[in-house]
Amino acid sequence: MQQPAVELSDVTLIFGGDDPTVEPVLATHDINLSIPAGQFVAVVGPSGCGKTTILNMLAGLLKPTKGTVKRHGNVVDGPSRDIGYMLARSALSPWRTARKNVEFGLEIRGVSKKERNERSSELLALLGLEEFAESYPSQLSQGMNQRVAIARTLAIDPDLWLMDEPFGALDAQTRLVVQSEFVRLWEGQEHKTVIFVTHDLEEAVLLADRVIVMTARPGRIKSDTMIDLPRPRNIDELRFDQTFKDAEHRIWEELRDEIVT
Amino acid sequence: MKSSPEVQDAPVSSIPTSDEVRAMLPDEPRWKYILRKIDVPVQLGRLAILLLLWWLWWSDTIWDGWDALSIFGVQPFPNVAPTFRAAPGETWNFLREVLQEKLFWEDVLVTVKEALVGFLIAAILGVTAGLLLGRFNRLSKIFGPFIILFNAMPKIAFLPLILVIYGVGEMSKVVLIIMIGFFIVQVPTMSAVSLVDPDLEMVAETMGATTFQRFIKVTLPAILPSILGALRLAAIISIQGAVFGEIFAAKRGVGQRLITAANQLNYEQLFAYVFALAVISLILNGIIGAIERRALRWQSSSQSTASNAGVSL
Repeated sequence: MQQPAVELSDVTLIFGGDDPTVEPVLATHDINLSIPAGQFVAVVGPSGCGKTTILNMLAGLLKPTKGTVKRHGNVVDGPSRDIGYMLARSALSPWRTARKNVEFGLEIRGVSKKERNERSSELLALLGLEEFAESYPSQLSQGMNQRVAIARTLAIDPDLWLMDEPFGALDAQTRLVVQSEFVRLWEGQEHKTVIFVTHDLEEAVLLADRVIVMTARPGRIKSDTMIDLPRPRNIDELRFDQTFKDAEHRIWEELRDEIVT
Repeated sequence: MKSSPEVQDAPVSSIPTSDEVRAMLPDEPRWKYILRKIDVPVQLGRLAILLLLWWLWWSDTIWDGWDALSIFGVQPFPNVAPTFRAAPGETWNFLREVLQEKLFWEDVLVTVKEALVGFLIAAILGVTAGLLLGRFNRLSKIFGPFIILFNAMPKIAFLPLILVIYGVGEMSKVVLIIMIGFFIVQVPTMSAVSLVDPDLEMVAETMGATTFQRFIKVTLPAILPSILGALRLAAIISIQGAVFGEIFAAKRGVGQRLITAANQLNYEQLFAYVFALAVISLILNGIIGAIERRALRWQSSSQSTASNAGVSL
């Protein structure tokens, strides 16, 4: 059998262990999770349940206190260049144009100017931003900036996409548009492994192959549900589909207990 | 759901072309737009202040007329004896004369050289120290208390000592300017480094940027506005430091001319030199301002206005 793309075994993370005057915080406890390559996994849970902590451990920004985090069978120790990490805030460099922001990761890898230019043009066109390529973030709307951030994440062609509430800061209508574009992008190429943290259950079920519900802190895995909706998905229609609604409802039952405490 | 609501389609008008949109707007003549752009009240206000200042000086109103004004026994505007006055005409005549003098330009060169050399060294040291202390927490903990202590000392108080060590030549002014300018640059640079958006650092880190790449591609551009603002301030202070040092003790320089004129009660000369120094400062300020505008084109106009303290012509 193929190595899972991501494997967490008995992962526990404690914050504040280095200061005896502060009560240590158990952020996540005994997390076991195995994700095959090419799967789109959404992680939902109440705020503060350690969703972001899991992403940070996968990105190599945090080390688990106990247990192991592996990618393709190798233990993660430090940031790696084949990960794309995307945040709720677009985190674009304000001094770079949209194009230069998209090229950021490529510059770090030392990709030639010509190649960078081709890649950024392609991605900007794919996200409908070609006429704003030379605009600065301060001149663009929030939705556009978030699309630039998507393009920046995808420009380096990562094989693991870590997304931390990437559309959380967008208004409802813009979010729908950006979600559709994102799914279209993901479905349009060889499927990459995605771990998508969100507080929005509808978003999780609409986009993902699999939804993980986490408990309130300390974060543990409460349920693990496969979403059997066909792909490619047309999410603005799917929202009103009965199968989708049933799935969302079932998972909501799990999530509700964790939120109402 | 029992019954779906009845949706009533409203008549949707077609979208007018951009020419049609323009035609819908009130027809405003071009001169009105230009007038608005000039902002007449602002220009009138500036003109009024200029005229007022000129009149105060020319009519001798700044020299006398308020002797009777007394607030709790304190006279804020006492009369100035005629010997110590300077008329605008005399000042202007002297300025025109002195601008022809070769020796005057040599003195200007001395003052500008002191200011520029001191400014450049202070800028290099200040930026470097600011970057290091902002980046390395340990360094800032070690050096922090001493920097606060030295910054709290009035640097001008060291001038007698500096003169003893470096002599009355140009070097002593350069040292004074470095001592003053260093802190003006170092303090804002350091705080700017610690205020760089952590999200940007995180993005760079997750993309596998090396420490050097993070410095070049994130830290440096992020702190550039703060550094340039500090440099602009330091440049003006450098001219002041040079002049102050020269007034205290010097062989050459505009400050030396200024104090000589004052000692000889030639106050029209004093005014002329002050104007000359102001022009030098403005030129320096303008050069750095131009660099700033070029380097910070990405800032939205409201941000750049804030950093220019709202001054525009």
